Amino acid sequence: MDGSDTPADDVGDPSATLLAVVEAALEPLGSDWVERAAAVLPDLRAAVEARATAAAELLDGHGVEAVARVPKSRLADLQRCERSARARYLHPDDRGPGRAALRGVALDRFVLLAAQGSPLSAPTAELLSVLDAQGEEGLCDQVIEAVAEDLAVFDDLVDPTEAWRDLPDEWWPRLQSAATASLAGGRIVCSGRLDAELGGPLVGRPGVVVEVKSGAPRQAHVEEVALYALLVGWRDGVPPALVVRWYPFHGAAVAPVDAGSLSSAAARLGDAVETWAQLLVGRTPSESPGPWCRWCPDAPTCPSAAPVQVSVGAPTSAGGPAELPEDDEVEWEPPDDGVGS
Amino acid sequence: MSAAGGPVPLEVRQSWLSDARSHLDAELERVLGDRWRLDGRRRPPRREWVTISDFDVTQPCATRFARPSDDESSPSVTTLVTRALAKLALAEWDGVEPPVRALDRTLATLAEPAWVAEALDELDSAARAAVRASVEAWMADVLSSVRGRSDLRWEVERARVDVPGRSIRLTAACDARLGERLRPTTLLVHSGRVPDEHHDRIVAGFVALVVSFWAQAVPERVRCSTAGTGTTRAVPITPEVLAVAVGRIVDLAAAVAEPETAPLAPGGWCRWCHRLGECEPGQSQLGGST
Repeated sequence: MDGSDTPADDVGDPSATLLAVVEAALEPLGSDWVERAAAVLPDLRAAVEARATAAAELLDGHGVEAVARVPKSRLADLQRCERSARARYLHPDDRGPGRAALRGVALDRFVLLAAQGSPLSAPTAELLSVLDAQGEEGLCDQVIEAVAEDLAVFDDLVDPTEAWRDLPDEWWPRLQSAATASLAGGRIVCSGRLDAELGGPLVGRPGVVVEVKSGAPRQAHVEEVALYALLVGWRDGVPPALVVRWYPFHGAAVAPVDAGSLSSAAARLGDAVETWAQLLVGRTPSESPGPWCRWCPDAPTCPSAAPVQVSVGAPTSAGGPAELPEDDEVEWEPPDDGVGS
Repeated sequence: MSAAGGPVPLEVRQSWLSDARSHLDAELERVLGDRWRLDGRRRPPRREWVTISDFDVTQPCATRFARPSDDESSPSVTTLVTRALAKLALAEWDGVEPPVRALDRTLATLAEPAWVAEALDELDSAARAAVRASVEAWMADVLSSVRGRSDLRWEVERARVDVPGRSIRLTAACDARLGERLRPTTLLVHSGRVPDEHHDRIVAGFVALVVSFWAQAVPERVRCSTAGTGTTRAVPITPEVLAVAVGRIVDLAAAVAEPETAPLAPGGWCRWCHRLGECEPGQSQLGGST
C-alpha cells in the first residue's frame, strides 16, 4: 500500500463530539465483541515472535548487536520503499517538521488542551506554552517562525478540537500513551505513541484508540491504527473495541477492532521485522518510487527516484524528486522513539 | 526464592546486604585508595562528589561516564515533575475510582514535595494542562504494567545514599514497593528503557542495594517494567545480582578516578555521544555500521 489512497467514505460528521461518535459505534457491538477479538492475540503474538526470533538470529549471525527498532514510522517507510527506509535510518533528517507536519504538532496540542478542559483563547501563546512545558524548544522556534510568516497558520485547527471537551472521567482520556511490543527477548522492539486512548481495562470500559490526523484521510492511517490496536491488545491482554481516526475537517472514521484487522496488522509487522533485519545485514533494498522520494536522502543518487509531479500551489524543480501533496503529514522519528536507552 | 522454592528467610537477606556493603567498601578501597575519602574534617562541595545513578550503571561505555558532557541544559517541567506527581496521585488512588480523580485531589491540595508544588505554581493553565496529560499517561502506563493493583506503596522521591566514608553518592529511582520500608519484599522500577534482561539484572541489583542500604534486608525481588509493554519482569535478588551492581559501581568510580584508562565500549549508542567527535573507536563503529 502506498499510503496515498484516500478512503474518505468512512469518515463522519465533523461537528459530532468524540464521545457521541464513540458511543454510537459501540452500541451495535455485542458484549462479547472484544473477547472474540482477544482470542486471536496469543496466536498472533506467537507468530510474530517466531518471525522476530528468526530476524534476531539473522542479526546475530552478522554481528549486529543493537536492538532493532521497528516503530510505526519504519513500518510505513518499508511499505513505501525499502531503499528510502534504509536511507532515512542511516541519515536521519534532523531539520524538524515541515509546515504540514507542524500543523499536526499544533493540532495534537490543541487536542491536549481541549481534552484537559483548558481554555483556547490565545491559541498561539497556549501552543507555545505547552511546547515549552514539554521541552520542545526547537518546535517553539518553528512555530514562531511559521506564525511570523502567516499569523493565521494554525487558527483553523482550533474550533474542531471542541469535539474533545467534556470527556467524562469514567472514560479517562489519556494522551500520548505508550504501546510497545518487545520481541525476541528484547532484540526487536516495535513501539508506538498513541495520540489518545479512552476506556480500557483500567476503567472497566471498552478501549478506544484515537489517532489525530491534521491531513486528509489515507489508507496508511487505517494501517497505523490497526497496528496500535494490536500493540494495545498485547499490552493490555484485550484489544480496544474501536479504533478511531479523527480528522478536524472530515470528522471521525470509526472501525471496530476484529480478528481480521488484528491479523492483518500482525502480518504487516512480521513482514516489516523480517525485511528490516535483512536490510540491516546488507541485503540490497528494492526501490519503489513515489511521493516519498521527496524526503529520501538517497533521491539524488537513486536511479528509480520519482520525477517531480506538479501539485497545485506547490513549487517544483525539473528533474528533482516528486512533490508531496500539501496536506501530507511527514513523520519523522526521534532518536529514541519513546523507548530509548 | 530459596533453593527449596520458598521465600528467602529474612536473616539470610540481611546477611546478603551486609556482605554486599562490605564488598563495596573493600572494592572501593582497592581501586580508589584515599581518593574521594571523607576525612571527617571537611566535606567537599557536592559538585566534587561522584554521583552514580541507576541510569549510569546500565551505560556500556565507562569513558562516556567518566567524561560527562558540559551541557547542563535543564529538563522540561513535564520531565521534572511527571513521575513524582503521578506517584503522589497513585498513593491517593482508592483502586476503584477513575485514577484521574485521585490526580484532581492531589493537585488541589499539593504542598509537598515543595519542589513539585513550586514548579507547578509557576505554570500557566496551558502548561499545567501539558503536565497533567503527561502525568495521566505515566499513571496509566505504570498501572497497566502492574495490572491495576492498588496495594503498592508509591515512592515519590529518588532514593539517595552516600557511601560511608566516601564522597560518592548513589541514587536510584524506585517507583513502588511491597512490604515495610525497612523490610521491603518487592520493589518496582518503571522506565522507558528498552526491555533487556541483562540491563534489568544490573538495575535490579543496584536499586535493591541503594533502596535497602539503610534497611534491614535486601528485597526478595525487583520487578522491572518498560513503558508500553504492560508487563513486569521479576529479578530475584541474590548475592550474585548484588555483586554485579557492586562491580558496576566500582567500575564507574574507577573510571572517574582514572579517565585516561577508562574502558571504551563502542556501539550504536555512540551515535548520540557528546564525545563522538574526538572518539576514533566510536567513529569507526558508526562508520562501519549499516
